[in-house]
Amino acid sequence: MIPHRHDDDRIDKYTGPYERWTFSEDLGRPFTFPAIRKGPSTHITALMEGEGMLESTEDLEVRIPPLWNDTPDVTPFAMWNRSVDPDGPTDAEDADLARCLNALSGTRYRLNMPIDPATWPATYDRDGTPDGWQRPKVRPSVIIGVIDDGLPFLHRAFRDADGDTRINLCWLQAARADDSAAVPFGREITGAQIEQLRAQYGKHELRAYQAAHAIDRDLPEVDTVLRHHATHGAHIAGIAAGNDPYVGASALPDDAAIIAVQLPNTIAWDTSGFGKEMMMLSAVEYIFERARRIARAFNCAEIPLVINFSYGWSANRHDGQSSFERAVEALITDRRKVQPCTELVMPTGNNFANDMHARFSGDDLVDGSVSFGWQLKPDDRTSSYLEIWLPPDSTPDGWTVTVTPPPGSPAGMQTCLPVSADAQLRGGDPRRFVEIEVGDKVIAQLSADKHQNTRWRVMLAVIPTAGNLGEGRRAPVGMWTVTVDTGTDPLCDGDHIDIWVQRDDDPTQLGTGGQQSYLVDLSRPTPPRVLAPPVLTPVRGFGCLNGIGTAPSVFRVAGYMQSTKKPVAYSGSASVALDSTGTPVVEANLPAATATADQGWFLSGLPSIGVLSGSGARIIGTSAAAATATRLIALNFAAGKAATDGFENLYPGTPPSALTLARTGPLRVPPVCASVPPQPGTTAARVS
Amino acid sequence: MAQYGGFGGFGGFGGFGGFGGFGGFGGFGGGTNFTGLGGFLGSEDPGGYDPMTTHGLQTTAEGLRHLTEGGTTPTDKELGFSDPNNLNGLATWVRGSLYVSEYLAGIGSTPVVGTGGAPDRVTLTFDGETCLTLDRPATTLLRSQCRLVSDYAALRAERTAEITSQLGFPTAYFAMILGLHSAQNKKTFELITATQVAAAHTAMIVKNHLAIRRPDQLDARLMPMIPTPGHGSFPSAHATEAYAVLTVLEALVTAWDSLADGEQRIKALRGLAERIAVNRTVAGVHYPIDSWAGAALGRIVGQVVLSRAGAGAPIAELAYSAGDHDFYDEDQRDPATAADKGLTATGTTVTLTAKPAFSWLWSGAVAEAQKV
Repeated sequence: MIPHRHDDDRIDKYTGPYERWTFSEDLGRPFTFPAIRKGPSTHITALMEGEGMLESTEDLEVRIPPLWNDTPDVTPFAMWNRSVDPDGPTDAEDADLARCLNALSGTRYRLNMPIDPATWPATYDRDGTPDGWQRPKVRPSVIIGVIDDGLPFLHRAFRDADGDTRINLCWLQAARADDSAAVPFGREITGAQIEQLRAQYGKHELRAYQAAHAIDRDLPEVDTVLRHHATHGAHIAGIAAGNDPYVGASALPDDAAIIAVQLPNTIAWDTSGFGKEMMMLSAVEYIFERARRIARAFNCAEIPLVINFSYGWSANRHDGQSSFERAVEALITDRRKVQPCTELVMPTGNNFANDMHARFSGDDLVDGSVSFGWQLKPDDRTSSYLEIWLPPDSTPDGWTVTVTPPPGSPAGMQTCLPVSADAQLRGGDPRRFVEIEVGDKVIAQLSADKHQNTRWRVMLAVIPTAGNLGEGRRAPVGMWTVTVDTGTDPLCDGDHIDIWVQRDDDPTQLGTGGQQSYLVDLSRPTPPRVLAPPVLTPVRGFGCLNGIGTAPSVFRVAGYMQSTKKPVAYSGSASVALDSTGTPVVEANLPAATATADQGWFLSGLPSIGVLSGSGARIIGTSAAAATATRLIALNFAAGKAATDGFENLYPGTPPSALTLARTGPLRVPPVCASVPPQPGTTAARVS
Repeated sequence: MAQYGGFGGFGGFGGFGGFGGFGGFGGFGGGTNFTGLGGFLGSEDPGGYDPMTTHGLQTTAEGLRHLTEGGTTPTDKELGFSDPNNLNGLATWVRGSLYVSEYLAGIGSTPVVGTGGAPDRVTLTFDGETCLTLDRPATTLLRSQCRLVSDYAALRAERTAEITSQLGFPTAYFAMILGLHSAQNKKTFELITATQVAAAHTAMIVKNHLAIRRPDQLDARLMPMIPTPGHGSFPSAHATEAYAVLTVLEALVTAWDSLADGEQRIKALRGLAERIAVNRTVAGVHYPIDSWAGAALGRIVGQVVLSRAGAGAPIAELAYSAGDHDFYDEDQRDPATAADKGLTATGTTVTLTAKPAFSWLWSGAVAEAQKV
């Protein structure tokens, strides 16, 4: 049972079903990542869509991060709700947050992760100059932006021929704050500070990171990630922006400046897709804004800029219309008007072969209805999420979604939800909720909402399957069956019902205890043969791609194997539909290019740097493939060439089949990383 | 060299000819953490010297004999008759024999053929008193449970190290949670081993009556990742051993009364017992109901061990009639939930007398309290 809330206290009035699930004690809150679970949250981040008054009040301090455009359609902000007692109860946090959003008088918010009060500087000057900031030694020919976790900003790979750092600024979003700052939370490390740290600590890089609060065991969002041998961020930054024998690539010029943003660890932690967009969008805005400051310091127009953002998750609309996607689309297109050399590079993701997407057309429905399986694994210690997206702009009439738990589950759990607005819920997007309970405890939330008032979504959120989490409730393990019934309002020709399962793995060994759920095609129970070519059955890899990387102007990168030049088995793919003649056609979320992800069958991944100068590591996935594209685009920009100069046109003659094109895009990025071992002489020269 | 074997002898099974028949328990051993049934059997057994040393000892004896030829046979001191104080001077494997004897002397089992639609069942008695009744699960239930075994196969890749290192007794895992070291906790290790051996024997007695096929013998799709054991599936001996050890260690940590974080460690021990049991389902050799039956049986065995050690309370008789349920520690621990899922306390209690070897061992283990 969940407590009753008045209209203005309903968090879903201002936000969406993820927020309702995540912040409600009787729903998913006890199973969220630690930053939320320990609550209540005094400081929290959010996005505001459309217009609204983002002004501080007596109880509420609102901060807007550095923005490239002062009036964006989607505004990231952070707020300190002084009325919240940090030691108070958490059972009504959903209502507290709802009242807080109500006070802002906007229309719709995407409520994001909380932040630690220790990261909140007492004074924030958005227009201020970062303490001790100096412009780069020379006007950069290109600026490379890197957004990632665990960034080793002292690493030798980021120094120029004189041994000076090429990193002009690095925003550690979750680090302990100084008294005053030019960022709303966290701390900003300038190139000058990096030189000071090197002068003070020499080769003792770990001590320097500790002194810079980049290693901080008292703040879990920073923690001791930089003590690891390798991090995702080190690896990606090394390929995208570093000069090091372990990368083994053609050198970037000394005037290739770097602006980096280290995200909170939770960005890689939570499995809901919830809570990250403000941090990510702030990071992109920050790099755009700081790049403009560098240009102004040289009295020049905007400088060529390429940002690498190797991250993503699997659920979402995949039509470029999520908040983050609309915001970055506006940023890229607007900046290109003043500086055409502007790119945001993102990977297509690694879930092609994981059965995390399904697409049903009218032909797949029997008597207007279709069922599919959703397999929940045992020992999952995080919530699992499934999203069903109806065709854009459609208004279902009489549709229902029925959820049936696995055989052997307690009786009475089967639940049916009409896909329509609940007239009782006033204000906000049209929406409806029902809880699935065992005894009197909630184990799942089934919802229908018209996302951003433009596209209907049905979402199923289920608590962990693991026992012993101290809540006295858990979800049944096994195959859940979901049935979509279109009633008397069938799918139109060319329309689809799209399903995506949310990412739920255990990234970078953060110990989330997540177990990835997957879809089951009930009409094709036989698994595909190993190495058989992928097919267009409803549960498919085509359309399983980065759920935040489908904005039209994003440079999406898929992955291929260097030795075979074929797509790697995991590389995310564009969606594929059938035209009126039954011929497959690729949709708009096509990759821009394919780049090396694995070097060979027995040489998986790519080489790059580890955390400490002189260390190396290999990481597998399209993240690294994207970083190789970023590097070559930066080299092109620095040389005054077009972004994709030197990329191979894969299909100069006859267009390939849609199933081929969806996995590669039109271009192939040449290999970047050499797998030769580092030469001792070279290494010594770079270290000194 | 054999004489330096000392604790290295853990795991040996030789030198205990009378139990030679237990060689058939090979399924318990063979893992990288081999302890077999001979957890302590063979331990501290010097065996024979190598031929060179034997020869050298004889030539030395001949060379030195003249130095003692004028002596007599003076010793008139006797060891105490039937005195537990003598136990400390025995080789570990000899005490192992005594623990097994004390434990098995009181055990009994009765198969009861079901009539009139009632299931076949087996009752387990100690000193003639029924402590547990297990109903034989129907084949339809086993077939339904194969579905869950199949679901758990998803965890095989990440559990491989645990599963293969737990083929034998998973003592290292319990030691990890309590911070045990052989130099400081010799008796605690011996108590754990004695409990495991008691549990393994008990499980085999019950399994033999119930004769339940392994999941992979019903469903070809399950393809386990370890050899199919040469004994029945229900109840799980791994679950029996884990829950027997858990029961004893919970009592020991309480008796120590010295760990400031004892409550946390007991939670971790419970989690471990569940995980050891579930790992066998992940591997593909046990149904979840095997873990239910094994956990119930293990709790009884643990309480019997404590009773024989003079540290037990009256044992509540249990009865298990399996339903089609997954296994979770929290479910079997909560009486109401357990009853819903087929595990009930009958309301009868059994009180057992203490035995000397187990009592000696228990007091030694209690004396090993760590001050943390």
